[in-house]
Amino acid sequence: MLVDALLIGLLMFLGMLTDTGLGDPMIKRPLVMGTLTGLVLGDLHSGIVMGASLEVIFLGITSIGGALPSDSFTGAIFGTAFAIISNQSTEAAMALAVPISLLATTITTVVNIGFAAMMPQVDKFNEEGNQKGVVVIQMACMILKPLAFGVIGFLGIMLGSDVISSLINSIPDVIMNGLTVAGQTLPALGMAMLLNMLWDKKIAVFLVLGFVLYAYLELPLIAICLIGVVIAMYTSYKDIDLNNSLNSKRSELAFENDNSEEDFFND
Amino acid sequence: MIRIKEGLSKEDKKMLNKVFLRSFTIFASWNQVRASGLSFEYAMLPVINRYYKTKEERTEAMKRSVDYFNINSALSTFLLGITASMEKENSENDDFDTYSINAVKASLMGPLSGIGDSFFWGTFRVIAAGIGISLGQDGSVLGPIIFLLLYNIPYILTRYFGTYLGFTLGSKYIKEAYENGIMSIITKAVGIVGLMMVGGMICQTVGLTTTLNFNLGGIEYKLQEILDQILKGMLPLTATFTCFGLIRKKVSPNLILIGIIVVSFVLSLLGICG
Repeated sequence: MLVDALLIGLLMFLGMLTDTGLGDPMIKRPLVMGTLTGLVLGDLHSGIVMGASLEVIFLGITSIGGALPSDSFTGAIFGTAFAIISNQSTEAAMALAVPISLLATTITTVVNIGFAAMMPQVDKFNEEGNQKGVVVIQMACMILKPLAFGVIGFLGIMLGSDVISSLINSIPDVIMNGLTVAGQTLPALGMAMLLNMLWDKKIAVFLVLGFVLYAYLELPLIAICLIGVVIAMYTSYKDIDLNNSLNSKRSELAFENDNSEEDFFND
Repeated sequence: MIRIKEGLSKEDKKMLNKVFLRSFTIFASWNQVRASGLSFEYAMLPVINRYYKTKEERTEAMKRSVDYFNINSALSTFLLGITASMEKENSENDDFDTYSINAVKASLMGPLSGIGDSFFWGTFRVIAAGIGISLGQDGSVLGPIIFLLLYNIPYILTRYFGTYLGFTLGSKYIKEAYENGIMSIITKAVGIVGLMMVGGMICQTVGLTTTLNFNLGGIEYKLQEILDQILKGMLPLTATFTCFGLIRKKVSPNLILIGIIVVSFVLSLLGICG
């Protein structure tokens, strides 16, 4: 248990470090973190499958502009870890990951408030022109946040495994069933959030095209993507042509207006 | 791609590479007050030290750059490049209004984030995850690997060239691109691909089905089969558009999330689903 807890703690530290130090290259997403959790706990296959299923749930539920609806990172790691440690199915991983992800948003909020509290000190360093101080605070933040997650990872597995294992084993089927349905339905929220980001009445009909290609023609997503690229490039070139002719007309008009004014004054 | 480096001196490139590398910590000190303000200042330090020689000038520039800054990370370097070009102009030109530096920064943050979000969050990530998930659900380790490659190749290239592009083009170009409509064409093109992917992924990811059966005149009917005959994926579509409608009405996503869990339990208890 100690080894597992240390490994998960280290994984959470490094995972969060890719966010603070590498500009979030998606390494902390459930698909990757589930896989790595499986790897360090000695069950790579389950880790990948659970990670993929969790990615489905959390795909669209993303932090945009800092607002954090749920912490998919912590939820996915703990969900996968507890499910693997207690020999449970993917459903159990999903059942655990969702509530944990909701609770875990608190960690980020608290850490961010801590960083906000450092800002007056940053201002003081700026006032003094102390660049070293600014760099130290930035670097400290970069390490502190992953450290907080690492400690929580270690403690969570160390203290939680037995409790959570007996908890999952005692969950009645009714609740497990309800959680399975929730797991199937939750991606709808993610898709809705993506839709909200991309929504534009004039092109919304392409949603139907993508849907028909997948549901009825059963094309793989990569094919749908390529068809989308073809349409997008074709319409872009047309739009650019149209745009150019419009712009040149506009400048011609402006030119004529200038001339007529001059003529007027010349008369 | 090579042309954007044209006319840049060795020191320029050295400075921009430093900005690019430092920009990877853009989320390090994110907080509710300044967002990525401190990270922005940290990435700007090489620029400030290169163009300003006196301590007063440097202090002023430092104070300026720590202001509230929040942007999609893929396009953060582009705005860093633009700001660097303005700081350069300010150091060379006495009449330059320093107010305009933060004004340009603040006015470009929103629109650039919008484009970055729909490119990277809404499209690249969805494509990468869609392919990664289908491989991963079969247990293939290629799932996460392909997911990371598909997302990060465009992501890191955009970040790298964005730094140079922002610096050489400056703020003028982006303003022109908005005014002559190029920006809206790009946004529209990305939106088309993104929407098609979301359309497909609603079916792929939302697994909601009904298990309700009923008996009419001795014949057993399965509700799901009837629904499929009317419209495939009717339940996933309904669920997604219900959520979409709620989001549009400014209902908090957390509330919707809890609502979904509650409704799922009710449906499962009633024997309609699961």
